Amino acid sequence: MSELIIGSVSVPQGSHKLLTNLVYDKNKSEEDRPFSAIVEAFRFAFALGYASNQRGKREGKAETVAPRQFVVSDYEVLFREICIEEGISLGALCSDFAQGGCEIIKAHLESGGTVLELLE
Amino acid sequence: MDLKYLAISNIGPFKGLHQFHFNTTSGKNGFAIFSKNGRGKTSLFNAMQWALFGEVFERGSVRSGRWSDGRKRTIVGDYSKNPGPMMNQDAYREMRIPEMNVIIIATQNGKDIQINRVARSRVGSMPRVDDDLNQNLTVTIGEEVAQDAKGQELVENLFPNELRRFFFIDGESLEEYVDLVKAGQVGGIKDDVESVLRLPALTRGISDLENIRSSIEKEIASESREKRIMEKSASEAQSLQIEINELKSNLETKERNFEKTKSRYNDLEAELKGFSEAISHIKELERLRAQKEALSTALKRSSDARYNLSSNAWMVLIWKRADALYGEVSEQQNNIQSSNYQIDLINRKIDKLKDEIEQSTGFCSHCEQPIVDAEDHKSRLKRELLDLESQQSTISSDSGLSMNEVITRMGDLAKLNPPTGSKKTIIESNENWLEDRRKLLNIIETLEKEESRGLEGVDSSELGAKHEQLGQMRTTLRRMEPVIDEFKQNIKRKETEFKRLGGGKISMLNHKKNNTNSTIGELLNVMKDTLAKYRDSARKDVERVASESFRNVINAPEALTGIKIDQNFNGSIVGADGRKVTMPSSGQEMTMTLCIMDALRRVSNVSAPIFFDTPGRSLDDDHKKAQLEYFWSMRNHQFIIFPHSGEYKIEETINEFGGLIGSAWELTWPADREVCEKCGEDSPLKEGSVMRCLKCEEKWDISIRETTVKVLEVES
Repeated sequence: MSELIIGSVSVPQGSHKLLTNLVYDKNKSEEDRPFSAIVEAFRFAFALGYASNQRGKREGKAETVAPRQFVVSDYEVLFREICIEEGISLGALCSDFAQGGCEIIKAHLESGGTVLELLE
Repeated sequence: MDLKYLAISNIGPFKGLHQFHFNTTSGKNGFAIFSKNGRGKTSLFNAMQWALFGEVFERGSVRSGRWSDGRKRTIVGDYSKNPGPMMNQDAYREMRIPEMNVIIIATQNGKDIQINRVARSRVGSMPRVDDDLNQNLTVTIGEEVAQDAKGQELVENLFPNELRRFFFIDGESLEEYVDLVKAGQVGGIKDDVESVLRLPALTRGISDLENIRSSIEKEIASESREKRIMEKSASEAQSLQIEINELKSNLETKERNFEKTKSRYNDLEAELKGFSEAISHIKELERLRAQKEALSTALKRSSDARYNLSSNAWMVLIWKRADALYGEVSEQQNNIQSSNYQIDLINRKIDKLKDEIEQSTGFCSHCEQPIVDAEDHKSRLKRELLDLESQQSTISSDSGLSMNEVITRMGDLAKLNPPTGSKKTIIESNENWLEDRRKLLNIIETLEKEESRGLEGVDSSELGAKHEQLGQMRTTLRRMEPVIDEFKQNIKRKETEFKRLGGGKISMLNHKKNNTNSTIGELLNVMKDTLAKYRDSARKDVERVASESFRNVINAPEALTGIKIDQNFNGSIVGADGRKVTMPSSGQEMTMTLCIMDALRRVSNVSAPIFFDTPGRSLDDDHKKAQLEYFWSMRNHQFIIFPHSGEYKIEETINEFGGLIGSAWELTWPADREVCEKCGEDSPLKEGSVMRCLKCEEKWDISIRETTVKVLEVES
């Protein structure tokens, strides 16, 4: 495969739930919910996975993330070669990184940390 | 009243004592004092007035249709003025007598009357103003002697001051009086007719009542204004009263509510007193809840801040790796730029070599010397060309991406670069949120512990509700207190304003004033009607008497038959046809005026001498003679004229009217004397300022301005 396939992004239901719990709720200030929308939580997870170079294995039913809000082509500059080399779509690679990020987040939260501490 | 004797001292040009004996035994009432101008006729005339009334006025005039006296003459003062002061200045200069004096002796109804008025310096020297003088009047009537004011009353009983102008007639101002008498003047001689009525009580009464009425009307007007102001104030006060009542009613309600709340508060407080431990528990709960509330707010604030900043968090993460990639692409860009430069350089060299090979002529292109081994040289150039083309090909094949591609990639990567400091601010906001959350959770934990503690036998929720209620009531009471105070202050302010406005009362105005005013008005009408009737009756009397005189004096009694004084008190001459004569001569008008004055005097029933200064003015000879003929023939009045030499000639007058003249005098200065007093010689010689009698050598100084009274001989 020499042409880049865009594809869509999704995460398993479990990760989707995790991400949902990171979305801001004005009535739950004491909870760790720093992101304005699920797509922002997804973007954080994807970035975290990429930064940590950790791809996750997506299993089970997937929940898609709105393509208009997460434009995968914005990240072509990062992943074009990998996608072509590995023969996977850009969306799939982003989703893998997001899943990887979710796993890191999950583990960190379970250890009592907060999600934004993962920036350090 | 008949004048018998007059003595004047130091008045006008009369220095020292000068005497006039009026012959009253002859039964003749004509008297004349002749002189040239400036010899003292008018001074004598004024001296008589001063003796009688204590004051002398300059010539009067008609102002606004009414007769008005001139300014009052001073006795002493500025002698440079004209007319100057009355007192003779030389008497003081020469004799040191700062005094002027007039004595009049008269008789009336068989009683002797003596009037003596004197003005004497109180400063011992020549006084400068009238205030430096003592003026005294002594009046003796029969056995009765009176001084000053009392004496003045006696004089005015005989000789009313208000009728003075009918007895002291000044020919100089008579023309003005003619104007007053003539038709067309507003009021005409109404005032004069009123004065001859001699009803001073009535006229003064009217004047006084009018003054009283005017004063009452002013008071009523003033009170009306006051009343209007008071009514306005009362209206404002009434509105204010309503406001005050409403405020008081509201205040009562509020105070009642306050007391009720306070009572309940006190009850509840007493009830809660037995639960001090429980209360302290509740208070602690309240404190913790308040703290929790505050921390919740703080946490929400820090949560919001974190939420706002976290949108860049993913870029921070991406850039951890993308940063290195960006560096690689950036290096690629540098390489491409370097390769392009090298290729460009090689291309230029290739082009040059190609040109050299193509144009090779066997001569050096630099030094133009023949090349020894031309073919070898050309072969070497071709080898160099091949070598360069090989280098170019190698550099071109090294480059994987074009410059455009590299720039695009750099742009795409730059979009992933987070704003400077993002990581730091995100981490700080997260730490803040964490700290706030920790505090809140601590408080929640403490609160839960306190809540779970509970109290034995106490329904803490009920107690809490009551305690909360107590707190609410305390707050309510605290809020109510200033409101009640404000109400009280407001009421106080409005009550002060209410008092200032007179409490809404309208004082009862004195309605009696209106009634009094009305009564005075009615009384005035009656008095004015009465006066009008008297006046009209007098007017007719004056008209009748004046007409009689006029017919006696006028030179054409058949054509000019009388005088008419109309309803407006204006006089006019009536012709034989009974109609008013239009455009009479000035002499006729003068005669008419004199006759009206004579009539006014006669109607007044005052018996007093008549003094007439400059009597012949404006009259022709016939009228002058007729005037003397008529007035000097009167049986009940002395008629004293003060003519100057141009009016009546002394000898002529004495010769013609000697049978009517009681006494006559001539006032002269030494310069007037043409006959020697000592020997009777009538042709003295003038030597400088001295006259000398050629017969007896008697001499007299003609530069002296000192009047001498000379008694003229008249038919006895």
